[in-house]
Amino acid sequence: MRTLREALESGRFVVTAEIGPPLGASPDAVVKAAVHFRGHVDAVNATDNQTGIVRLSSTATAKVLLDEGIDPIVQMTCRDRNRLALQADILGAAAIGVRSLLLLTGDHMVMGDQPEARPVFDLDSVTLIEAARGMRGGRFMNGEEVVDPPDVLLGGAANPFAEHMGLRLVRIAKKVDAGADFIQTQAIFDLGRFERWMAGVRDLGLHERVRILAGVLPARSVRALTYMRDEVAGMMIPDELIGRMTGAEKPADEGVRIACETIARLREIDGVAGVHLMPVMWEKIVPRLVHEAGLAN
Amino acid sequence: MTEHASTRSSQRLDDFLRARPSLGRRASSFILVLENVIKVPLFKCQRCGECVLSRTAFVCSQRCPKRLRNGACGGTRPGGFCEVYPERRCIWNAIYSRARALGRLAFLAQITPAHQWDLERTAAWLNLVRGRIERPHLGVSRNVSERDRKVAERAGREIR
Repeated sequence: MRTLREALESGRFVVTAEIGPPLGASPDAVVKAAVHFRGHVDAVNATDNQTGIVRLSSTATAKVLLDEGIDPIVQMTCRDRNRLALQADILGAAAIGVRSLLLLTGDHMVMGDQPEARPVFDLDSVTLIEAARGMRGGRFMNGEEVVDPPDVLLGGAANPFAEHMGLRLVRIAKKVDAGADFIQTQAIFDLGRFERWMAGVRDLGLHERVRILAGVLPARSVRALTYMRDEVAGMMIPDELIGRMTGAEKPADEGVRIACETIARLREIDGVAGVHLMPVMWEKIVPRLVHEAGLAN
Repeated sequence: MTEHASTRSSQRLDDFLRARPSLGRRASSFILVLENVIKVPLFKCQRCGECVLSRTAFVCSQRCPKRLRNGACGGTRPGGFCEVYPERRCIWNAIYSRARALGRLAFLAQITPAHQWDLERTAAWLNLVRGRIERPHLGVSRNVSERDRKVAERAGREIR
């Protein structure tokens, strides 16, 4: 089985992807999607009630992925659970064989379809990463001993496109200090701004302490792009890109071409350790994208 | 509970009030009234009981709908607006701008510990003299490390 840990240790260009868990109790959709990931990527994120909509839990999805021979990265947000639940779930994930976590603040529930829910946000992403590192080192947040510490890699997210750029640098510096082993970024369309952020990351020497996986979103259609621009928090999609997709004869092919061009440019950037593919509702494109972008190994 | 380096007198006061919880609550309510008169109009204080205004360039971070103490989140909208209330400016962007203007960015580079939610709606001033919360960060020169300074200097070079 390809794993994130092995990929990070080997020093080769890392490829991760992500899957949105199904809206019901059947694992079939995850099993079906798994064939598009297995052998093509190093690990697959299982999102946690993404955009504030209830889905199969990320840890349960991870178990299905593990059974399918895929190394899962369990996403955990601070939106729905307090520190007791989060610490318990970190233990639970590790107990079933999860070896990587992506620790997030989480979209607010007003972005989802049950906005009347109570917002938790007991911790934030930075303090959650710190708490998980403490647990890995054998201590719960209150200092009590963890008898069998969870052996997990810790990930954080970064959005280099939200204002202010300086604040975005402060954020990644804090996540690295808190103990992040890897960072997955928001989908990159504005390469100029991403390069500016990376320059700051390198100036602070952060790329030597954390592995940065650059987010790439292959778009299937114009509608998919406008949906993400309008509905997904923190997603910035330039008008030129929508124009290019609109003008294309086969938008899906154009989407793959754009993603491949982006990956080629990302590989040139010093400090980028890999890519994180976000094939939203389009898992079957992953093998082709990996092949055409020259990421197959 | 987080322990903060406290003087012997603050330790004695804390022990005294812990032994008399009802007196402690009444003292807190009384001081909270005074605190609110000053901090609510001045800082839109949210009465979290664990004041971090000195870390956040005196803009209350608890106005953030996610109550983030290490913001901003990744949901900030174009132009620096809030994910939850699109008509409002992201409070962490406001903190950042003010910290940059006041030369206090180094405090943003430090990790603010998770909030002690059991202190909500209690008097931060009393919590401070009881040694239950950290002391305010006053001068930048004394409270920040070389690393904090480096992050602040590099981040501060970015225009927007």
